[in-house]
Amino acid sequence: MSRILILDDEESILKALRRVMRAAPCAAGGRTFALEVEAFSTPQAALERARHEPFDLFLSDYRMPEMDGIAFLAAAKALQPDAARLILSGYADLNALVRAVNEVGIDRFIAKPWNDYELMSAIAQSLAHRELVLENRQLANLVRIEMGELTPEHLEAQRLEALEPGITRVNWGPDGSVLLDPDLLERP
Amino acid sequence: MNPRAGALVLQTAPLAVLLGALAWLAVDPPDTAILPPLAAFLTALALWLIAVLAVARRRESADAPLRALGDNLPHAYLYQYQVDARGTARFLHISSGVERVHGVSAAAVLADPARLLDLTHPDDRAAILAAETESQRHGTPFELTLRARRADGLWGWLHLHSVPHAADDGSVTWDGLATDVTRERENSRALRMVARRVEALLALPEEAERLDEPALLHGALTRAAELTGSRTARLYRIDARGQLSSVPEDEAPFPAPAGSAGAEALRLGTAVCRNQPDAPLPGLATPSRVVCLPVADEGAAQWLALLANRDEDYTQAEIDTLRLIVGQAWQLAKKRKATQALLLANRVLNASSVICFRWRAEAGWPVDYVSPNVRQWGYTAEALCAGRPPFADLVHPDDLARVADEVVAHTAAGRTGYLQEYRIRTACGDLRWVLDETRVLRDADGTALAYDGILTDITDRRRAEEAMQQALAEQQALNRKLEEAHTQLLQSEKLASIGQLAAGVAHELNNPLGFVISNLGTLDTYLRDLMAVVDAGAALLDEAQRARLAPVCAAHDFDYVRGDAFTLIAESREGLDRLRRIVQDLKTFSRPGDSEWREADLNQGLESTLNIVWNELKYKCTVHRDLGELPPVRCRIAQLNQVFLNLLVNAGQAIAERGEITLRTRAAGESVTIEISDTGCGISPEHRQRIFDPFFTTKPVGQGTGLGLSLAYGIIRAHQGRIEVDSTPGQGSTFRIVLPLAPAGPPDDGVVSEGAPAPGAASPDPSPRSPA
Repeated sequence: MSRILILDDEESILKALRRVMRAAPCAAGGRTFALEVEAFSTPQAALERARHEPFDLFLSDYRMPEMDGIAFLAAAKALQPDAARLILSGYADLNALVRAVNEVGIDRFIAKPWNDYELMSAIAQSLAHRELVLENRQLANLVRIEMGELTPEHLEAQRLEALEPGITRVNWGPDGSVLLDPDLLERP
Repeated sequence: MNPRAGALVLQTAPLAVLLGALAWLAVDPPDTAILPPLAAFLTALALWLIAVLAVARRRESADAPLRALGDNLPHAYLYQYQVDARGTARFLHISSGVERVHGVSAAAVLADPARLLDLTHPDDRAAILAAETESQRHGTPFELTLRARRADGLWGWLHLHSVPHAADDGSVTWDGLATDVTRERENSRALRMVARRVEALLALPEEAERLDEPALLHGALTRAAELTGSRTARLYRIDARGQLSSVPEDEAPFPAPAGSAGAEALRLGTAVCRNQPDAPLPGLATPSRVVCLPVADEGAAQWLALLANRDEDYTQAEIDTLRLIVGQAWQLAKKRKATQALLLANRVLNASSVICFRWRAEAGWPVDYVSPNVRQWGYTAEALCAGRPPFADLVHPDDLARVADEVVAHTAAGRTGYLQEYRIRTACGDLRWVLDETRVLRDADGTALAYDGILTDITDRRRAEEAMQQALAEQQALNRKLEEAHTQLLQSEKLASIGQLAAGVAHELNNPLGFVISNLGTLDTYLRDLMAVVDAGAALLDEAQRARLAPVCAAHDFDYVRGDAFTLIAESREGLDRLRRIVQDLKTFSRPGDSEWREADLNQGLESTLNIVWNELKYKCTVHRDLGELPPVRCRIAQLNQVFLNLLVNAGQAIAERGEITLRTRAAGESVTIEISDTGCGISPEHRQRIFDPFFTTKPVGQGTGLGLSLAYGIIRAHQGRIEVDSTPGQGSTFRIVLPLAPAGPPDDGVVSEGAPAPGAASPDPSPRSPA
């Protein structure tokens, strides 16, 4: 089951997308993905959710009030770097496209109005590509363990670090104490 | 009275008195003792007198013819003058002419010889007495000219010629002739005067050559003073305010004293003579006699010549002398001044570039005079006056006819002067522009006699003018370009904002379009799923259940609905697809990033544009597409779309009620042709050449900006293509655009990108290599 977060300020778009994702097959390269869709109409709600739940793919509108799609995807990338990122926009602006690729590293830019089949195949391809990358990384780590370049502890630390960034590092104070929150030192 | 009768009366009067007295005594004797002796004495006296008279008469009768002759001498008289031994002088005889000469009767002179001496000039009395004594002593005749008072009271000249005869008694008698030579002396003196005047006059021209005006006048005046015997000569210069200053002594100017001869002469403007002491002038103490002559030019006196202190009175002769000599000197000075002025004028004229001509008003314009400075054109004045070459040959052939026509017209119109500009060919073949300022000389009847032309070389001015004209034309062209650019900028700014708006609208449309299209697709899937369920359900029904279902199906027209639902969805999706395309076209049309040069399909551009304006056209136009196969054209498609839009809108506006618009595209060699024809009102011929001018519009206010076609023209030119129009009023217009497939030297794609000017803002000439 692939977890997908969709974000658009227009509810109708969200509903249409839900329908498509529920009904249309999501297949690429002989693999079919079952999709579990969570839809949000504000970036804040979506980010809040992304902090607590992992997702395989983010699909965002570009033009939204308060925060545009690129800013949202950049924030989502900080939370979940391995998730795929797509933009679905009716605003085919070259500047936006350049920013999306350079700042966020999006996988696809899909124009509105979209073609259902193309949309689903783009999602599937992105998911497939992501799985391939993760699998490659896992295999490479296994090889490194076998070759002694990496210990299972390291691997576990990487996993934990990915789950909770900063958790594998210890902040030592000058007196040998452990600082849980360095910001507290600054306060009177 | 007859002198002889007078003499007789004089001689006989005492006798008559005596006889009267005797007769009185005889008739009425006084009773006195002295009567007898008195009577005896008187009788004796009368007898003596009678005897004397008889002697005298006898002698008179002997000398009578001679004396009569003497009496008849004009301006002269004879005399016999006797000085006896005792020295007593008396006239024995004197002709009656003495009365004519001196105004004293002969009898009076005979009675008192001193009368005549009294009449002689006191200065000459000694001379006559000396001559007499001399003559008496030596017995020689004497001749003497002396001054004597004449009958008119003036001094005259008397010539005496006397021959002495000595008698035995010791007395000497002179037989003399006295002649009044006053006139002769005057005549000879006048003659001498004339001769000296002539001499002086003859000397003047030579002096005029080497002396300036004051020196010449002063010299002449000095000479006049010599001729007239004046001891004083003064020359005064008169300035503009009438003040006098003496020449050559330089004194402060002063006014002529009122009442003086000088002031009088200046007032009257003529010579004034005063033979009496006159008011003094500076440098001149009270003159005894004075003559003043104003030397005037055109009424205003410039000099005052003065002669004074002559021993004798000034007469007309002296005045004439002064007037003649000084006047002549003045004339000479004036002439010399005029000559010098003329020389100077000639020198100035010749030094200038202005050339003067005089042509006779005859065929061929023979040259009467031309200033010598014509040699700056390589001609000589002599040759031109001789007609080598004729003046007409000097005028540029292209100008000759015009110049001749103008001369004839001006002359016929009675003008006294006119200006002409034409070209002159110099001897070496150069062309010079001249301004000919001509005055027409006419006779009393108004017939033109000659033309005086002043030819000024204005070649430099003409060149400057031409350069200025050219500069002006260039500036105007530049202004036009600037105006065009400005217009395009305005229009493109408008377009850019429309583009932004359109892009925003497109975005907003894309969202609903997105979900509607998507939902319709989903609905299609749902319907198929539903039908599958329905079909599966129907298959499970038995015969009776199917019979029961049939009316329901029939009531709801199920078979039709089932078939039509999918058609409906397909049609809706088609409509949505069209909507999507329109929005797409709107974005394509307005996309600001699309102003770069790239290969584009013009047919597609035409279609997109038609989609956008379709709303404008659909109610009254039928659009025919005759689109040929077009190779990709390197262009700024957004700009060309703008051109298509303008032409399509114009075509739609040209059609009032219903009409047709035909789009035709063709490829031919290295170019493509796009034609947009309408069956509208057409363009009137007078508007045809202005339709591409900025702000030219025939549409009602608010409908047209007058910019559309000018913008189209600018864009097509920037594509190195051309735009043409065929139009028949009332039948319609065809706009034809011919574009090269690949314009020479448009900028590379990379040059124009995001942030570059919006469509139309680019210069109409993207590269200096592109033809204008």
